[in-house]
Amino acid sequence: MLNAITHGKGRHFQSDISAGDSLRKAFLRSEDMLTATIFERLAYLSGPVVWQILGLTFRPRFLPSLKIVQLEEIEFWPTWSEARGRLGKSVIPDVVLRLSAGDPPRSLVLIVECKLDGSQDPNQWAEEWIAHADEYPSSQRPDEVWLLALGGRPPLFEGAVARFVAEIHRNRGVEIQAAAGDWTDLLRALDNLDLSAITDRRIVLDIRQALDLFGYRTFSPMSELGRLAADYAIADASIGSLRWHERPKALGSLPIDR
Amino acid sequence: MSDELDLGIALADVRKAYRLLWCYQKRVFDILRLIVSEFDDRRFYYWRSAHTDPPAGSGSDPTERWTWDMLPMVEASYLYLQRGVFDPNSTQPGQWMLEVKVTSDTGFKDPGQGRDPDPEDFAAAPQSNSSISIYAWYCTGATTLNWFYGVWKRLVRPEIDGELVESAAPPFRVVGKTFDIATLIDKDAVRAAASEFKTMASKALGVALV
Repeated sequence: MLNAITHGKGRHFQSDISAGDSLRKAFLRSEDMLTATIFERLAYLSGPVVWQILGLTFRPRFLPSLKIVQLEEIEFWPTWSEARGRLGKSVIPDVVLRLSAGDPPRSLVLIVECKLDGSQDPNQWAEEWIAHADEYPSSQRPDEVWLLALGGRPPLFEGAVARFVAEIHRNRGVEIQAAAGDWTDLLRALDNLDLSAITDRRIVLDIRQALDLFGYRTFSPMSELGRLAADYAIADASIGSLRWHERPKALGSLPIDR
Repeated sequence: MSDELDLGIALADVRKAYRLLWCYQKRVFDILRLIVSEFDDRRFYYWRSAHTDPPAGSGSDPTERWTWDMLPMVEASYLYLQRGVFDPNSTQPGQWMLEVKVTSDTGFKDPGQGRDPDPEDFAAAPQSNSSISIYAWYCTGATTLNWFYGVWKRLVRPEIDGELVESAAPPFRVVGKTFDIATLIDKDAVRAAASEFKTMASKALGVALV
């Protein structure tokens, strides 16, 4: 949230927030608040944990399993203007993560485009990719760049990501690397983490609470209970077997006073 | 079959029952959270089991109490106030409390006289139901009563869906609707139930509940 205020020049609430509305309502309507809240906390986690979360959230699975990872820098809503001539405007991606991974270390830049209710847009992906390439001279370019699309309606599956990539190649002549995930994929990724440090567990709990506020929570449907009950196959006879007066012999060593 | 073998099977079934109960209770919590999220700005206020006392605290001897005290989710109510209600010892006209009551076994029968209910006296499980009831406790006059002790514990709930219970003291109207848990199979069904209650309760109370 802090970064939505301090780094997000021009970030604003939707117009349906009025005086007297609760902070909660204002928070819940804001894509920027969700983005900042989640990624601020990700930045507090150790590099390998961030790597694990990103690897589990986005498809295609683009991150190899690595133990040596350092989150070097995280930037919120940077303004990239070098490609203004080509694009006719500055470009502002939501979050940019700069990581160093592996041994020997390779540099990796992740450009993250977040959506709450809106749709992911291949044109926006292309502009962010081009703007990033123009922003840095070749000597400063990382070994690898990925565009990560988080959230959006409808959720993007791997096939749709491939179609977006192909469309960008066809229309803009650039080859991008992209992966996508929904906020619920992030939630599932948090469920599957192996966390040993208590500090990491606290931060992950905080991220889960933020996602919960926005309605992203796990839900186990009651419809599954029938199958579970059938699997357990509890016998009626078991209730009788455990009644004291019906089985005094088997429970003879226990104190029985009725 | 020997008694020892019977007991071994029965205890395996107890282990299964605990695991199945965990699965069930997890789903009940998910349903509770989803229902509450369908209403604007609700915060958890209180919970209370219907037939039993809350589970014994660490300093209390559970063996001195009902066995059911350690199984409170057999029937329990969960209360939610508006976030703007900061003082639980004051009620203002227009404020309302959301109650979600989970009745896991309608066959549960309290024999009275302080005796621990015995499942042997219950209606057969297949002939009983599991239900979730949603109530709106709508305040019509300012009081300094506590929402739980002064209002919830003093008033009776309506027994029929959509029927309005109107009380002068405390000044409240209560309306509710019951849903069979067997119909609340997924998120959409739960959301539809919350929406159905909202429409019905808004009409009965003559105010738009959100």
